[in-house]
Order: sequence, then C-alpha cells, then structure tokens
Amino acid sequence: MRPRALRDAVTGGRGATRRAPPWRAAALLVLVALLALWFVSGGDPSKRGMAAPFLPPGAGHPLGTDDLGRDLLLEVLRGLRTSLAVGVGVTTLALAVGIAVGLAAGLGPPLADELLMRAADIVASLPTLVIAILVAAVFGGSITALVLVLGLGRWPLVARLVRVEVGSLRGREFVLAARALGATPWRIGRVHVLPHALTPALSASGILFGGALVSEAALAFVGLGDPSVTSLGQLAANGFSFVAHAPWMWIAPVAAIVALTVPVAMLADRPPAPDSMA
Amino acid sequence: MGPDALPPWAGWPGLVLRRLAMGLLAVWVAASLGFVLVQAAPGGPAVALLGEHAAAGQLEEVTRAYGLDRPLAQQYLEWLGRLARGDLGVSYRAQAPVATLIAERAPVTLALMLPALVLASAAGIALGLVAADPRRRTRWVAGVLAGVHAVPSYAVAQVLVLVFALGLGWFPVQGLVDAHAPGGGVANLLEMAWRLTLPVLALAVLQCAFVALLARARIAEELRQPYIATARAKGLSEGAVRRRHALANAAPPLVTLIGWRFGAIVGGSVVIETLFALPGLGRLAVSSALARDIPTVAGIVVVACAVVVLVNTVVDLVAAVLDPRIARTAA
Repeated sequence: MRPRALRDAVTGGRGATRRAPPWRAAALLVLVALLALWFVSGGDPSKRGMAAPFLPPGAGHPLGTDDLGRDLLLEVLRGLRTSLAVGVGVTTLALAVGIAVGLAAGLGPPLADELLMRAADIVASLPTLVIAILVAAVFGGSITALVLVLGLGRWPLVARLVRVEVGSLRGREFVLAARALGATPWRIGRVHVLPHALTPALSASGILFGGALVSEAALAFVGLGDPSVTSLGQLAANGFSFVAHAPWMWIAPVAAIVALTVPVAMLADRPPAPDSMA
Repeated sequence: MGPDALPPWAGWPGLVLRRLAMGLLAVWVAASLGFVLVQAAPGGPAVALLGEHAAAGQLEEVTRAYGLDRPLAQQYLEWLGRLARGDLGVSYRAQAPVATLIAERAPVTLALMLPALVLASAAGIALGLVAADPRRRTRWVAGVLAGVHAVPSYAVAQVLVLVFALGLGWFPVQGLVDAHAPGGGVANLLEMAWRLTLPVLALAVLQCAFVALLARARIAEELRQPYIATARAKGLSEGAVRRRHALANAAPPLVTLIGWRFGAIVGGSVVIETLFALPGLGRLAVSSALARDIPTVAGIVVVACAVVVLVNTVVDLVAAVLDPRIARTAA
C-alpha cells in the first residue's frame, strides 16, 4: 500500500495541527492519576498482612481481599505497575528502533531505503503475540523477554510513519541549505529532520503503549505471564473463577486495565495500528 | 513514486512476484526464529525437543536422530527442509506428529475466526458508513470506538459470559461439544454453532470497533473529495453516495488494513479459545507452552506466521484488483 494512503489510514486523513477534543484532557488526567499510583504501590510483599479470604470491599481493604486473603487494592496496584513497565519498555524500544530505521531509510541511499522498509514489512507481518507464546514456552514467562519481543516486533509502524515524513522533508529548502553548507547526512538527520519526524513517531506511541498492555495482560491471562510479577490479566483470570461469590475480585483488575488502556486509546484518537494488538 | 517514474517491473506480474517473494521471506524469517529459539532453549535443543524429564538414553537418541551434534548450519538447513516438507516434528507430550495435531485443531480455530472476521468486517463497515462525518462534527465517535477497541479481549469475553451464559442462561459457559449428547448429524453442527456464538461475538466486538474506526475515517476522507459533490449534484441520495461512491473508493486500503489485522485476530483467538475451553490451535499452543512442549509450540507458531503472511499477501493482491492504481504504480 502506498505510504500516503497508509499515513492517512493511521491518522484518519488529518494533519498534525488540529485542536484536541475536550475529553482528551479528562483522559490525560486519568492517566496521570494512574501513573502517580506507581509511587504509592510499593510495599514489601512479604510484609503484607494476610487477612481473611474473600473479604468484601470495606474499611481496611478498600477493594476487598482475594482467595488467599491478599489485599486486592495492593494486588491491582502491583498489576498496574507491571502494565506500565511493559508499556513504557515496549514503547521506548519500538520508538528507538523505528525512528532510527525510518531516518536511515529516508535519508540513506535508495537501496538501503528499499531493504530497510521491506524488512519493516516482513517484521510487521509476523504476529508478535504468537511469537511471544513461543518465547514463553522456551524461556518461561519473563517480562524482559516480552518487552523485547513486543518492542522488536512493533517498530515497523513507527519506521513507516517516520519514513513518510522524512520523504516529504528531504527535498525541503532547509535540508538543501544544510547540505549546501556542508552538513553530513548524520547531522542533517539528527538536527534538521529528526525534530520534524518525531511528531508522527510519537503519534504512534499511544497505540504502542496500549497494545503492549493488552498483550501482556492477554499472555498473563492464559497463564504464560511472568510468574514473578503480578499482572492484571492473571488477576482477571483468577478473579473470574470466583465471580459468583466475590465479584470484586474480578471487577477490580478488569476496571483497572480498562481505566488504563481506554484513555490511552482515546488520547491517541486515531485508528490503532493494524499490527498492534491482540 | 509518481506515475512518471515507473520502474520497469511495475504492473501485475511484478506486483504478484514481489508480494510472493516478500511472503516467502517472511515465512523464512519466522522459521528461522523458531530454529533460533529452540537452539537457545535452556538445557539445549535436545531437552527442548524431549522435555525436561527425558532420560539420558532418549536424549542421546534424539541427538542422533535429529543430528543435533552436527554443525549448526547443517541443522538449520535440515530444519528448513523438514518444514518445507510439512514435517513439523513430534510432540513429546502427545507422542504424535505436530502436523497431525495442528490439522486436528485447525477446523475449530477457523470456525471461530472466519465468522468473527466476516461479522466484524460487515458490521464495522456498516457502522463506518453511518458514522462517517466529513465535517468532523462527531469526533467523539472515533474516541468511543478507539476506547472500545482498547478493552482487552478477555474482559469483553468475560462480560459476555456473565450476561448471556451465567446471567440469562442462553449460551453455555464453555466447551464446543456436549459430552452427554449423542454425536453426529445436523443437530451436532447446530449445537456447535450455538456453542460458538459467544466466542465468535467476543472475538468480533473488538475487531468490529477497529474496522468501524478505519472505515469511518476512510469514508469521511472520500466524502471530502470533489467527485462526491458531483454524485450529489446528479441527485443521488446520501446513502447511495456513501455506499456506491465513497465506500467503493475507500475499500482498497480498508481491505489491506483489515487483512493486516489477521495476525491480531490469531492472537485474540488464543485468549478466546482458552477462556471458552475450545479445542483449537490457540489453546493447544498455550497448553503446550505451559507444558514446555516446545516442538508443538514452534510448529504452531511457524504455521500461524505462514498463514498470517499468506493472508496479508492475498489481501494486498485483492486490494490491487480493487484499485488498479496500486498495480500500475507498484514498485
């Protein structure tokens, strides 16, 4: 598919300059609040006092306790931490690789452009979640491995967006001027082109972030998550088996992940990448 | 690339060859990834192929049988050769060829994915047609659709189970067949269709939101084009303008993007099959991964990658049929 059509499909055919709709502020607020939870959700798990199992939400345990008598609020907060760590890790990795590839393809010789973008096509066509299952089978569930698989599997979206932008910048006067002044391709890319190309790259970060959260939760849900961390997916799977007599055990983790992924998606305000989510 | 700078290989044969070559390359990458991961497994490839509890004699046997003591390059070529012949290895858990296991489970996964894909595409495009808004006055619709699409698939499925299975009792909670019912015949098929309703819906809801989001944006884009004004000027109704003109032109990129979603649908079916206890490929992959039955997982992953790549390739060619410009300018 042609680059222009791809960009339009991803951005909804709109340019970068448009007024943010009002609900974006609300979504951003929810996200900031959740990110703030990162700092209060610490606490040594071994020091957590065990309470009676299946306590309904109330004083002392705002979200109740689970089947093992653990405080659900703490569990959900720890799950959110895992989600955020995976989201930040995958987004950072995919942005770094994608921006580097997009810049190199857009500014390099035509052959490099062709090879890099075809490599991006190939990587984009592979189902990352399925590959993550194989990695989990070989190495056991591991957050680090998952971040690597998802990050290295989802950079092509960023690379394509950056490549389109660089292609339109390459012939602009300020780039020609820089070249005429003797700037190296490296300097042109870093100083003159990169700042412009960052906008489309960052526009993909919401998609990457949300997609990573959903993938992590999905793997944990089916039992292939990292056994050493708490995950919202695993809490939701566990809570569902007690949903008839302890509904809070299911509602809390599901509400938490929805409260995280939905505002992110609404902030992104564009169709998600076709190769982004489970 | 503009039409004035067409490379000599532009046009249909070039496009088909190119897409096929890219598809083959992608399958090769997936197969190589499988090889590397099995090699990198803790304890070595023999343990990966036989499981952690294999006896020393068995390990030596498999090392000899698979030539695991030979140079890596040779093993790699043999692995590719076996895959090319459809030999995906042997599951040590089921003691059966992985290819057989996959062939047994594939119909269930297809029966889940294909209806979900059709349903999601039809409903999503219909939604997109209605909600397309060239004047951008109803942006909240896109926000809502994006929000719906971001809900994890398991949460959607669990809500459906709570409402329609546990609450209203219309559908079973889990399973594909009723163990107590006599098998065979049309009644059996109807039973399966009934049991697949919730899983298909669960898989379709998120994809439907995604398709609607794309269709809405693409159709709105087309509705801003001058030819739409012509269509309106000649007296066509709004519905006809949208369906016959805007949708027809929005279709090729939509087909491509929906096809690219196939990989995500495969991923989604892993969760849905596990939740609804359907004996499909996704559940086999998960249960094999939990049991460290690496040959089975590797086989499923390579096959899944190949199918996803094949679908992407076909979809690209379909888009080129729908929009001749793609073939003419393909480079």
